[in-house]
Amino acid sequence: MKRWKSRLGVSTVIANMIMISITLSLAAILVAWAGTSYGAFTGGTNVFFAQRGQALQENFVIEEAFFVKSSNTLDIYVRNVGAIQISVVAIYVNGTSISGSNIQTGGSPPLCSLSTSTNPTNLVVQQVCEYGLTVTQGNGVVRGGAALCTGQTWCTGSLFYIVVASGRGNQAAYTARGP
Amino acid sequence: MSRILIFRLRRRRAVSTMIGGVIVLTLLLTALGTMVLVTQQYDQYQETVNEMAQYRNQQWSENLVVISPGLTIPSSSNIPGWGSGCGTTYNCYNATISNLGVVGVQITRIYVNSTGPAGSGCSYPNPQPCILNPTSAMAPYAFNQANRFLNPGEANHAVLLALPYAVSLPNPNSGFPQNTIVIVTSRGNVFSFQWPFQVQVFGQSQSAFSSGNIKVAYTGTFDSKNEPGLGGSGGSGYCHTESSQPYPAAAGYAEKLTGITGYGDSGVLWFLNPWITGGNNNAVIDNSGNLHSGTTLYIYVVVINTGTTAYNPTAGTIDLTWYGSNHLDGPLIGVYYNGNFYATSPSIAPGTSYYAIFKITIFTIGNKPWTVQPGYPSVMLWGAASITNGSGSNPGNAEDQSYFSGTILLSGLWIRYEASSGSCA
Repeated sequence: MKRWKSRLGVSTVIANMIMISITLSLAAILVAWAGTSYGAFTGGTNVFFAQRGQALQENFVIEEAFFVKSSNTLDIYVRNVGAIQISVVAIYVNGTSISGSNIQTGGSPPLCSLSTSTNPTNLVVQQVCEYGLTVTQGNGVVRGGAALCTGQTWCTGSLFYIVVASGRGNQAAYTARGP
Repeated sequence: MSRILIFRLRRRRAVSTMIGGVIVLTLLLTALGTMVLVTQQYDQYQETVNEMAQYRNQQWSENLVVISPGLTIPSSSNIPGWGSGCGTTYNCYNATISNLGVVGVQITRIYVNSTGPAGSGCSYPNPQPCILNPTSAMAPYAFNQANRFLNPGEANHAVLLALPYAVSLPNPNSGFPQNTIVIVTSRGNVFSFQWPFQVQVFGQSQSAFSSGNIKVAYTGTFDSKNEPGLGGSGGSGYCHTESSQPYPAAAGYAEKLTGITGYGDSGVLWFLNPWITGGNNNAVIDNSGNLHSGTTLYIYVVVINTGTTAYNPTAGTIDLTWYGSNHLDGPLIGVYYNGNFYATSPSIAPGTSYYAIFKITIFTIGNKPWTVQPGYPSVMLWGAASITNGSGSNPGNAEDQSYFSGTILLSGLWIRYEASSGSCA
């Protein structure tokens, strides 16, 4: 009887220790998992809200657009009227992306260029930038009717829907009519 | 024995409860911390949302209105706090703007885009559009930065613009000599207006009549070398130095009215669009050093009877405000209707138009005639008797009286004389 009792006591201690170890291990795993998950969740929401917040703070307008007959370009003026700096990454005219050599450079004051990964350019708050866009049949902006468009590559009275896109996904649109 | 067992069991349960509690508490704290962090981030985001919503409300609350006549010429060449040179180095204009919105507005840039022949106003090869930025000192293509802020509800706020002297906004487009003026605010709103404004009565077309183009006639043939300003040739009232022309404008710019009995050159008047300015052979050129005794100016206003009954225009006057307190006035000499001149009032049928021709006999301001800068606003006071269907003790219906009295704001009636480098005896 005494032996049995003794065996029973040892077994209980060991069992308890085993149970506690298992419980603690599971708890550690659970806490670690929860921490990681919550951490990831927190990080994700942090990035989300930060990006959304920045995107909300962006605000820019195309304040003027006009056609330059001598160079067959459509010049637009983009102003950053938001609370943070922006980068103009794409410009579309009638659904066609205007980029590369179709974005004019030079001039005085110098024309602006699109922001790229290799050449990031930003517009600070209240800065205005002039972009010279080549609008021709060659780059797909002007479609058809070249014979009707004497003197320039665009047709008088034709509409040009201009969209300027920022790096944060915002857009500003403007509709200009060919002179 | 049983007591010992129970005691042991209780101790074990206590340990287990504590461990379990710690675990649960840890989990709860982890979740709570996460919730706090996410809530903080959301609060920050919401704060940004609210700020931008407020910003957009302010954007939508901006409301600028340009007051007729839109642009005017400042009365002084010296603008305190900005500089001097208006009228000599620069063409200066005052844009009169009211802020009808409930927020203050800051003007950041002004664009001027002109239509018309090449080189007129802000059209190619001149800069097109003209881009005016705020400056602290007078400069070409600039506006006075001291004028850029408009308080909420502020009325008749003047914004002073400066263009190079060679760039004059009126252009010799006989059709619609327009300049599109775009005002950009710091919140990104764009307000634009056309200048000159169309001729209006009480700010809008009237039910009884509406007025259209106004044109100005110079007396005589404009053999201007000898043009005395009083018709014919051989006079010496003042001097033009451009080569002889039948009239000082290219073909299509002048309108010839004949049969104006008793006026002009044997009843011929050449009417020009008042926006005729500029160089080349179209210019009316004056030697600014000459003294002049004055000349005769004819003005017609197109009047349309938009009523349902005929009426008879009778005597009237025109009174042009010229250079601030100066006035030029003259009587209605008759009407030109259906290709004929009537010194006495014809019956104007509904839906038809006529020219009401006024004559300003002595046109002398200062020491020379027509010393008028382009763009200066003129106010035409059109007497009630000018186009009523009655006269004398029978002035016509009350409706006619009210319709035909009032002020016609002209967006810019001017005749520009330029000093010539050539000789002028």
